[in-house]
Amino acid sequence: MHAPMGFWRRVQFGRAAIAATFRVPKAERAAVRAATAAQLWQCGVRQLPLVSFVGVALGMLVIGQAVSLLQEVSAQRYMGTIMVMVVLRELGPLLTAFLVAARPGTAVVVELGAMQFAGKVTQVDRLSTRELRELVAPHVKGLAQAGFCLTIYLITVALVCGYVMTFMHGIPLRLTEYAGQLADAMHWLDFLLIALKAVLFGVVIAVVSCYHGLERMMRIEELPLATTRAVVEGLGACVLLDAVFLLGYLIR
Amino acid sequence: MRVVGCGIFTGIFDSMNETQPINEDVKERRLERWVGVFVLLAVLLLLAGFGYHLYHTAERKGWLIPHAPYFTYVMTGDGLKIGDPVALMGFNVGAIKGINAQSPGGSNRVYVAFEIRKPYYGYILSDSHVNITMSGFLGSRRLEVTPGLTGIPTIYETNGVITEVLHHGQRVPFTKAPKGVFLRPHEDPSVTDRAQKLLDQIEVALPNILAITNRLNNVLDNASVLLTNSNALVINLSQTSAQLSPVISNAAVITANLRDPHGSLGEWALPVDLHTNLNASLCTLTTGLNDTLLNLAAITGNLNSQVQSNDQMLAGISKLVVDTDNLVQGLKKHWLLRGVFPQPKHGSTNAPPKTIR
Repeated sequence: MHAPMGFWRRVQFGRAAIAATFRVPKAERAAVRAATAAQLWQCGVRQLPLVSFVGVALGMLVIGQAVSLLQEVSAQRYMGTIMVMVVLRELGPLLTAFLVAARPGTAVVVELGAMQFAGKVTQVDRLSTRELRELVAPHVKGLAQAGFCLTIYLITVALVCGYVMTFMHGIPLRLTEYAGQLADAMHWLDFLLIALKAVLFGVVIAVVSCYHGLERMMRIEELPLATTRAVVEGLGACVLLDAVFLLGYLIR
Repeated sequence: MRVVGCGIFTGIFDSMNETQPINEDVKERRLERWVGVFVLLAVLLLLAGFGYHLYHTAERKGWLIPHAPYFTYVMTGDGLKIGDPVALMGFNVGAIKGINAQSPGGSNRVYVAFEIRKPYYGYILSDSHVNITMSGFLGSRRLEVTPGLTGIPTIYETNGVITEVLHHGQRVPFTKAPKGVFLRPHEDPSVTDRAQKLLDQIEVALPNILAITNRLNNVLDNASVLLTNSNALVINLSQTSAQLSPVISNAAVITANLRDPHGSLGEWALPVDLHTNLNASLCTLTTGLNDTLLNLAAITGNLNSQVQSNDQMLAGISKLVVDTDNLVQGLKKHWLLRGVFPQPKHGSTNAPPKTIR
């Protein structure tokens, strides 16, 4: 019976955290905005090199693998379609979520866990709305925006590097044709779903990380365990959410 | 406290507030500016992508270009669907906009409406028609409009706006013919019809195929027996060749001996000095023959002289005979000897008698 109770506790915490994120009194907005900006700097801007590197690798790997396959059947003109199917719809948001969960997510757990350890905050069950606004809302806002922005950057870098790789393979594909293929392969709903997916991945990772950081009074030795649990749960939740979005693609 | 929440940052910000309020404020603004740029750039990238997608889709589907409506009737809507491209001269120039079944009893079964975008509808004249052709392997079909050659235009524009269309051979305002222009269909049979026809042919051909199969079976049986016999023959041949092997070896040895002129059989058949002896004999023979020919030439020369001498001798004899005859005639006429030569009877000649009694 532990798992369902834990699950409902997480759901309740998530609901409260999101409510606190969106209902900020006017007097506290500036402070929350500043904290969010700081969070976004840490979780977004400073992750840009890593995300760019992953984007480069992703674009080159996908195209590198696809080129050898497509050349056998003389179907190089589907390069753009493959990029959209693989990078834009699936791997881009999911890889960004992995990176966000692995780096800023763990930092959030450690930060809140350290505060718990220092006795500066109460346990998750006893958090007041004000504490949620001060401690959780900036993380949720920051990670949501960081997830969105990093996903866009990763996809952009991957698409550009995909074209560079195509060019290096000597495939006669002009940039306009490549862009045209990408545009043809995409649906207007893709833009909405990518943005929504990236934001929701960020929110889920933030909520899960904050929950595990504030879950209970923990000793310093328990902090790595809580961090690991947060990463695993966060990624699991993202994959489940991705499956829900996949249903959306199928229904479309 | 200006900054609340966010743990470590709160502490850092608080401490910076207390010590260096101006620097803190500047840093905070700078941070917010960079973060704003970071978010704004991402949003702009997304919007740019979306904008390009819209632009490209509009260009591809011709949203910003005038379209002219056309329609046709087909026997079946199988393989056609709304949104499928319409081709003209190998280009996708429009799309199918509607497919509806017509009321029962009419000759027209399925109504297909489609649009052609500018400037391609300029190619479509009154003698144009629509080919409904097969497309791909999965039974899909597509509309392919043929450009007109000698007809009149089907669409009329004024200031770039379609104002009139060709309806039953006459120009009418566009509003009076909302369905557009009718184009004659040339429809290939659908895949199911073709498949049915193929099945019928297969059914007809099946008995012959079965007969062929039976004959093939018999042939295969015979071939099996033949193969068995061939196998036995090959085995026998193998044994025979094994037995022939020493003979072949001996023949090889004999052949080698024959090839060598100093071999036993070679010298026996053809002596070594045969050529020398033959040459000497031929020389002797030639010399003898030469002498013989010289003698023969001499004999011929003598014979020639003899023949010439014979001619002179014959002339002498001939003269002698004439002279002798003259002498005899003279004697006959001499008075002394006239009696010796009796006178022939009157009318008798030396010629032989005509009849024999």
